[in-house]
Amino acid sequence: MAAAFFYGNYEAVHLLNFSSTDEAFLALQNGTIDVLAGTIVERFRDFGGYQFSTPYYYKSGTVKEALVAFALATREDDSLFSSFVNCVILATLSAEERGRNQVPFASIFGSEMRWSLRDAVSYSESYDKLFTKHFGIDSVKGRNGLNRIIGAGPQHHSLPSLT
Amino acid sequence: MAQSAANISMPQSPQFETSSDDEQHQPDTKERHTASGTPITIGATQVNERANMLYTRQYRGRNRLSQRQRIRAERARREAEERGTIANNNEDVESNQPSTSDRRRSSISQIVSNYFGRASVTSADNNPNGDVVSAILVEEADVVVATEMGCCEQNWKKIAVVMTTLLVILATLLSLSIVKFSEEKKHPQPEPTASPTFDSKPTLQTVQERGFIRCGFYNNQINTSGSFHLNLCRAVASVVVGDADSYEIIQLTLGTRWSILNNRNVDLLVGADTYNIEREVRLASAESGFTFSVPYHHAGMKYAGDETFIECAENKKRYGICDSLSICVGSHSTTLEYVASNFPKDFYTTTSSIDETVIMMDNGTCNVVATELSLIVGSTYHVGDKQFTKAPHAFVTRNTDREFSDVVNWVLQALFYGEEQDLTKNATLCGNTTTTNVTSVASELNYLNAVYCVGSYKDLYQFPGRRGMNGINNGTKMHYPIPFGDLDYTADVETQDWENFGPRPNSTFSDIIIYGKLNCGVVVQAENDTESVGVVGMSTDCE
Repeated sequence: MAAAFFYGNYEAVHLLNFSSTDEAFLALQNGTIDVLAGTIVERFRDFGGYQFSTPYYYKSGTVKEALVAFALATREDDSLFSSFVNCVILATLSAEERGRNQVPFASIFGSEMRWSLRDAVSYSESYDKLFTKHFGIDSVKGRNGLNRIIGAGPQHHSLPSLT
Repeated sequence: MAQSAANISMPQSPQFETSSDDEQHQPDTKERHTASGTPITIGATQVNERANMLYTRQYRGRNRLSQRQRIRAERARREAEERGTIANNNEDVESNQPSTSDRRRSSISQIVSNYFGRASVTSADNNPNGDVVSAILVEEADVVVATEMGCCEQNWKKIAVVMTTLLVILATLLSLSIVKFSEEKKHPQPEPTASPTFDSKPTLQTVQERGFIRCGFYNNQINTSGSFHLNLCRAVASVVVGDADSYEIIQLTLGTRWSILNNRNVDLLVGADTYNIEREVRLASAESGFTFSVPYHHAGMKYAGDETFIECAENKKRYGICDSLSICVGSHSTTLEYVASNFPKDFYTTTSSIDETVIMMDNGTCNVVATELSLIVGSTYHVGDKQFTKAPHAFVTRNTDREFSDVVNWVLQALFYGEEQDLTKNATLCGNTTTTNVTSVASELNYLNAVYCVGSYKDLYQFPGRRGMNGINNGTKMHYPIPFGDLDYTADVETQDWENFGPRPNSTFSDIIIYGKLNCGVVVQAENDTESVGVVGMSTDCE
C-alpha cells in the first residue's frame, strides 16, 4: 500500500498494532489509522460504516464450516480511497494471474497515481511471491485450495456472519 | 320621429344630393336640373311610420353621426364662418377671386371627392346667371345602421371593474409567493423533497416508504433469461419490503442505464451489468463511479449467429470468405472494447439495444453478434464454443449510498448461503409484511427471506449447460481478481481535465498524500493462532 501511494517508497508507513479488533476499528473510525489489516469480513462491521476490500486470505476448510475471509478495512467516507486500497489487492492477484507487466496504469485515481499499481507490484511482485515470503516455502502447499486464484471452476460462496 | 332619406326619381342616373342648405329642413321633394338641363326631382320621402324606440346604449352607432351628417355639420360650420367673413369683407366680392359660393362649392366638392372619390358636378347649361348647381353623391352605405350590442358591450363597465379586481388579487398572490419562496431559499427545509430526483433520503428508507423496489432490466430479459434476473430483483424485494412481488420493472438500454440510476429513477440495476474497477471508480460516460455487489453470474463474451462467420470471428480471420464478416456489438459495453481491439471498424457495427441487434441480424446487416450469453438466451442463434472475455455480472447501485449497496450485496450472500446449506423456498418461513413488520435497520433485515420467499441461488439459476464458474465453491481457488477495465486515460493525458480525477480535498486519500505516510493498523491475533500470525505477517507487508 505504501509503495503504491508514494512512488514505490514502501517505508512510508506508520504501523500500529492492535490486540483488540474493536480497538482497531475504533482507531479506524476516529482517523488514527487510514487502513486496517488482519481483520475479517463481518456483516455488522460492513453495516457499521466500514468497507472491506477483496479478501486477501481465506482460512478454514469447507464452506459449510465457518469460512473466514481476511480483508483490508477502510472507512466508508472516501469511496475513491477504498477503491484504491481494493485495487492494490487486485493488482497483486492480477500480477500472478497475468504477469506484472499486465498490471495497468491507473491515472483514473489522478495523474500523480498513474504508476501506483505498478509500484505496488514492483515491491510485492505478485500475490504468490507475497504469500511465499510471509508463510515460507512450505506454506505454498497451504495454498492448495482456498488461497489459489480461480481458473474456470466454481466461484460463488457466501461470506461468513450472515446469520 | 320621422326618418328621411335623399331619394332620386331617375333610376339610371347617379344619385345626387343638392348642396342647398334648405333641403335639410324641407321634407317635400324639389325639382332640379342636371348639367344637361334635364329636370329631376330630389328631396326627402315622408315615412308615415313611427321610428322604433331605440335604447341607444344597446345599439352600436347610435351615438355617433353618420358620415353624411358629419359632412353636413362641417358644411354648416364653414358657412357660418363665411357669412361672418362676407359681412366684414364685402369688397372681396368684387375681386377676381372665385366667389365665396364657388369656393364653398369647391370646398364641398373637394370634401365629397375626398370621401367618395368622385368630383362634384357643375353645370352652366341653361343658366345664364352662371348659377351653379352642385350635387353630392349619396351612398346608401352612409346610413349607419344600428346593431344590437352584445352582453359584454352592454356591461363593459361592470366587466372592467371585475377584471381590475381580479388583477389586483393576482398581483397580491404573486407577491406573496415570491416572498415565501425567498424565505424558503434562505431557510431550506431539513426534509427532502418528494421528487425522487432530488430526494436525499437513504435509498432503503425511500424504497420502504414507497412500498416496492425499482429494478432496472434490459428489454429482452423479462421473457428470456429474465426469470433469473427477475428473481434476483424479487429476492431483494422480499428482504427490503417483505414481499417478493413488490417490485417495478424499469426498462433500460445500455446507453441510458447509468444516468437513470444516478437520477434515482431506478434503485438498482439487475440487467447483467459487468463489474470492473473502471466503472467502480469513475465511468467516463457517466462522469461518476458506481457500487457493485459480489458477482451473481460469471459470464463472458461469445460469438453467435452464422456458423461460418462465427469461426471467422473466433479466429480473427478477415480474408477470403471472412471478408464479409459483420459483427453486431452493443455500444457502451465491455464486449465492444474487446471487439474494437481485435477488428477494424468496418468489420463491426454498434447497436444501442438488444432489440436493435436482433433486427440487424434479421435483416442481414450483421451475420454474427458478439455478446454475453445471458443476453441472448432463448434465441435460435448458433453459439460458438470459445469465450473471450471475463464478465462478472453484479448488482449496481449508486456509490453515494453505501448502506443500500451493502443490503443488496448481503441479499446475494444469502442466496449463496441457501445453496451451501441446502435451504430452499419455504412459504412458512417466508416473512411477509402481512405478518411481520420489516425493520428499517439495514443490518437487522431478514436476509434469509430471500431464500425462503424466492429460493436459493441454485433454484434461481436457469441457464443451460454446465454451471462452471457459477457453481458453489467448496474450498478451492477462491481468489478472483475483478477485471480492471480502462484505468488509464492516456489518450489525452495532456488535455485531460484532471480536476475531475484523483482525491478530493480534505479526504482520507488527499490527507495521506499530504502527510507523506500511511497510517496502517494491524490486528494481532492470539499467539496460539499460528495461521493468523502468518496472516498478520502478510498484512505487515507495508513494513
